[in-house]
Amino acid sequence: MAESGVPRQSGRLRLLRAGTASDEALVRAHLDGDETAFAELVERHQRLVHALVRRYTRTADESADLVQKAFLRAFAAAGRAFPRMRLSEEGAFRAWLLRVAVNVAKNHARDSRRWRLEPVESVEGRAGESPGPTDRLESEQRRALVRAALVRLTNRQRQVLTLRIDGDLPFAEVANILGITENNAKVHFHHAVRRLREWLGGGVP
Amino acid sequence: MSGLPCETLAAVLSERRSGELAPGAERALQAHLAGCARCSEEARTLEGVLEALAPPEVSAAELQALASRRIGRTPPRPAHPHWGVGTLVVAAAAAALLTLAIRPGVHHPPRVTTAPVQTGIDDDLFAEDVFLDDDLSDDGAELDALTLEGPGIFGNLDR
Repeated sequence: MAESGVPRQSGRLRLLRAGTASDEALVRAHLDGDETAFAELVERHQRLVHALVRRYTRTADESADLVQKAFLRAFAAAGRAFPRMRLSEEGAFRAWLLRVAVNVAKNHARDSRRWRLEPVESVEGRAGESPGPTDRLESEQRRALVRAALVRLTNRQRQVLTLRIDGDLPFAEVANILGITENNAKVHFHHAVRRLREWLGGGVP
Repeated sequence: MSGLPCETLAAVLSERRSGELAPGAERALQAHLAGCARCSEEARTLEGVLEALAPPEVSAAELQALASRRIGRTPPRPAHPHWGVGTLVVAAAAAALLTLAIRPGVHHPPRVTTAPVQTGIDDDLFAEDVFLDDDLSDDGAELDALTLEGPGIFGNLDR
């Protein structure tokens, strides 16, 4: 509860400022009305969330918007979802947030249609015929090619691939986030890469 | 492919690219690829895909756009702090007991059972594996608290 415009100073504040509080303690502090807790969580995780969503966007502004959306979506559910989490378990919040981020990115790709979802074959053919006048165009064509292919993967394959490649997370953490075994995560990853190889064809260097 | 399951080859290659592969596993991989033309070719093409998937460096423009949002400065309001399902269960139980206690014509007062009932339910309902399965499962089911835009968290483009 703020008094005279001053944010509530909870007993956890010193820990928050020292950066030693766990994510889960910060979530609790946020639910208790500590306005500094959310900022600390954003500071900790926004780079990773950004890494997860940027492949599914075309501009820097879109990526930033998705990062913001991911945090707000994650916290909008705070009242209902967080009490159901085992916040005593370290990593519960991070896993939740990253899953939200992956899904926000996927929804963006699916719903916004900010790029044309054209058959991979047509993109591939065009890229093969005319690489473009500049390296930048070539790079954008390659990104569009990969992006279109990623959208065609199954949910689980795309989740694993995004967390592993874009999030640069070890398979053990990917598995933990998704609630599957590490070996299962690796199998999904393997099949995702094989499918992409099939679809990307000549687009792969 | 003894010691290197074919079903995870791309994952092993990914770990090698990021330097996570243990020395023993690295040697086993090299030895196998050196003696198996089929797997060697498979690895080469999979490496090509992994190379194509490598994300580009984050640009200054991206960092600037991110900073401009001031995301941490606008904390959302907790929807219902402290009002978890457990609280509601206790409240409902208290209401039920009160109703039974004042109901006319009851000759035998209801036997009051204590905490164990709620404790068991809570443990099951709040187990994280249940939570994880419910909100983001592959079949499109989702936790309503996490309803995102569109018809579901995962869309119709999924196969």
